Amino acid sequence: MKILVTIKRVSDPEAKLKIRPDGTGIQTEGVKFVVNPFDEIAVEEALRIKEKHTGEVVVVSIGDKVVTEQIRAALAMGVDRGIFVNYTGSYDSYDVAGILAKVVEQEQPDIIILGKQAVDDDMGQAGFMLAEMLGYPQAAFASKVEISDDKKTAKVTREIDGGLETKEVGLPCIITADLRLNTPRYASLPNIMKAKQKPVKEVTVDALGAVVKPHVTIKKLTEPPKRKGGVKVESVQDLVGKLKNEAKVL
Amino acid sequence: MSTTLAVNAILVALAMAASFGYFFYKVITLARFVLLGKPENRFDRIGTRLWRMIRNAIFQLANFKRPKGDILYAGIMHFMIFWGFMILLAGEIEILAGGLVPGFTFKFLGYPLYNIFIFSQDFMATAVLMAIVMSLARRFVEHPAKLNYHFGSYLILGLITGLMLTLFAMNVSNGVNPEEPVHGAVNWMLFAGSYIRLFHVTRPIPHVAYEAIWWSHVLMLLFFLDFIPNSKHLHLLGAIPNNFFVNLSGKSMQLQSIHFEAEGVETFGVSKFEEFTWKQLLDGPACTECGRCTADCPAWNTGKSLSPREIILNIKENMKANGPKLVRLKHDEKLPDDQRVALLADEAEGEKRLAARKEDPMAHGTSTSLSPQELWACTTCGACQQICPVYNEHIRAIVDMRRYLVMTESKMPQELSATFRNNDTNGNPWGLGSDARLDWAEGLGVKTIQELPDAEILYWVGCAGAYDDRNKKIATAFVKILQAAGVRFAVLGQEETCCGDWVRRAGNEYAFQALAKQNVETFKKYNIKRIVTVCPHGYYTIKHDYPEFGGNYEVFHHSQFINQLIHEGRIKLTKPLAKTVTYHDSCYLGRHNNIYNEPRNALASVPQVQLKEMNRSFDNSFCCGAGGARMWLEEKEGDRINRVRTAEALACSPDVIATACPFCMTMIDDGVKDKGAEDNVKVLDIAEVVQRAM
Repeated sequence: MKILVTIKRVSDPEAKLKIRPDGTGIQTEGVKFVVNPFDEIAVEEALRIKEKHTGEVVVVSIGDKVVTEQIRAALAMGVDRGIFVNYTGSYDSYDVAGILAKVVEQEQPDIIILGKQAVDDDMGQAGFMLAEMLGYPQAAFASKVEISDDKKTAKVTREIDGGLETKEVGLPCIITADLRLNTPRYASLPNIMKAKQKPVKEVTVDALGAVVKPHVTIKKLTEPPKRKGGVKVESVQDLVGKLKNEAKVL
Repeated sequence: MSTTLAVNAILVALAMAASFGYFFYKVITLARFVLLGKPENRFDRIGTRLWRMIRNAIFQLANFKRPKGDILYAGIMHFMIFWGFMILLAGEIEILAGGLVPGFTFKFLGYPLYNIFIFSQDFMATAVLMAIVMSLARRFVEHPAKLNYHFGSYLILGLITGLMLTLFAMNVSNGVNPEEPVHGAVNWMLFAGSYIRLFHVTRPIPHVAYEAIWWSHVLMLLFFLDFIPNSKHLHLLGAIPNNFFVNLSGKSMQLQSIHFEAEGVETFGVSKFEEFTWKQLLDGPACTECGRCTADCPAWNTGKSLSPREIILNIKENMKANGPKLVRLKHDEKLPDDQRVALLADEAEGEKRLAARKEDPMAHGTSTSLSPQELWACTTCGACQQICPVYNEHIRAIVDMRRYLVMTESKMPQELSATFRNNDTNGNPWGLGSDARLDWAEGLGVKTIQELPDAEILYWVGCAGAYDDRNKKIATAFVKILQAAGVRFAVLGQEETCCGDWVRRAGNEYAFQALAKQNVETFKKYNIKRIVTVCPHGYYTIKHDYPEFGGNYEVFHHSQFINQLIHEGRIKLTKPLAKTVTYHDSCYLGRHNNIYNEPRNALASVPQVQLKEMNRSFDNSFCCGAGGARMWLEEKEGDRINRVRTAEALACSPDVIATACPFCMTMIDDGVKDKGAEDNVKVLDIAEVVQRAM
């Protein structure tokens, strides 16, 4: 059973980000980068499926050379090999799905697991678009994944308002990982050492035969307004007065 | 020589040969198992080691570490038995030699010496008998939960009683037998002599009866000898050397550094007994099974499956189970894992042990393995090591096995793996942004070392002080004290990262070494020589762990520093605080660093403060439950340690519970809230108490 997992290099969610003066992106100097947390969950789930049903786990990441750091991090968790799609230009979710579709064509995995969204731009589109392009069934926001013993179907549960929804999809399929699917493992030291030797194949967008033509471009990023300090009110009357006259919500 | 005597001598020789043969075979076998362990240098400072051995083992001071109650009672008892045996050994030599060479006695020593010898034998035999009575009273009346109530324990007591009674009977009989040399020394026998006079004994017992008593004495003695290596009395052989090979490193946890660059190493930490050092393997044979470690253990006392004694004993049992197979291996041959009794058991086994513990809170199950639950329950508080009379080192054995679980297997409670990830990315266990490390100091006028390169001391804030809301207030209070005293201090700001304490204690030596090297490098960059910390864990790590990585500094804990500022008059405490304050000893400050008085003195310097000690304090203090990475782990088993400790603090009816450690602060603060006592009792760091009084 072959499982393909996609990972994205994102700025550390805890880092304080600064916007570039031209407003088109963030300043990357001094910012730590990590594997998108939802993608880590996807990697963990793939490894658990492999441990139960045997097979191979492959990760793919798109970007410039630095994304190999994140590929190595996934290899250290136990992933077998990596595919690095070297592309430095700008792209949107549709382009990503297009590139991934080409990788899937080459690799022919039984399951493709993506994080439900990347925590940097929170688009959350790539999984859906990829399923559409490939014509594969998809199960998004998985909180539990069970592969049938004959490895023909996957039973996927997701959390919905006030309950759980369980679907069955035929393989090959697309699954996107939600937060409570699992807790990613901490890489063991022998695996960290082995990760250095594991193969990472570098490919270009052209070699894959993908076309990158962004439909969405970022025009401008702005910081959220700074929170102003609150005021302490003396009495309930005071509060009601302020709500009426200043906030105008009553 | 008559035929009977010759036959008798041959029988004695045969019995002795069998007994001594078996004894030495067992001892040599055990020694070979111990020597399967990895090398460790415990042969430095021979003089100090000899003195420690004489003082603690020969003069028995190790048994009087906390001379109160049961420990004092047992210490006296053990003293009598130990010295009884040392002195009676001479008499036993005389008895056995007399069996081999009929008519042999020590009478050739001449009368003054021989009389003293007779006196000592009679006196010590009686002392040992008294100790046996004390021991039985302890076992049946006091019935301490920490003891093992095995058949073996009673067999030993029975044997000793038998040996002493037969000795006494022989002395009485010989005392009235003009043919025996003892007859001439009868007045030197305080107890046997009194018995003779009191009961008007005039004739020796019949020859056959005497022979029967003599033989039963000798057989009991020879049997006892063979029972030693198979019982807890193995400590007769292990304890004295263990006192010699004691940890003299000056740090309470002499953890072995791992060299990760070494070629061909694929496992890290300990999952097989022979991966411990020989000294760690000697801890098992040295163990007396007295149970003091377990009796003081915060995990055991709150219903968890961890018993420090079983850590030591189960390793010993595993060594005895696997040792015979290992010593038979040829050079370069390895024992396949499936032929070995596993040292590390799985979670399911841990659940079983926990269930057994619930059923019988006093059950001490000795086995050949240790479960992850037992290993993760340890807070590394050091209570076990503090009281151990044979100076066993429980913590590093636990850390060594945690190392295997974390680094080789990546098997750990999942909240810990999340915390490691946080720490790897952002250099603090909360996983908050590394660039937010100095946010707490906004508006306080704190300078970084870049702004104040010639600062007289570096304030190592620590992750708690930098990121935890409650502990930020403590960092603030300490800064105000430093500023009031005019101390030119600086902080590292964003160049500070996790000190690595809990990382190392949790077994993640790889990540720890990276942190330690990074911090030592940072200190070097700014030429740091003096460091003050608020966190005792950072204090321990920088002071005791960093020298391995080339970092040697003068390190102060803030309690020491504040106390010094008070005594130098650099800060004046003028505002009275008419409150009852109970101080909770942090394990890493107290037991691990011997800092007990400075925090108390600082508190006592505040006008009108009434200090009140908890039931357990100083070196007997009870952990808050957060050390050894327990801060980041859920406490699912038994009662919560912080609840138990908080209840103990509240029993003093304090107005303030004072802490000197960020972890203790969190745990006790939670405990007070949990007990609903937060309206009446405040939990304050000593820095906050002092700052309020300025």
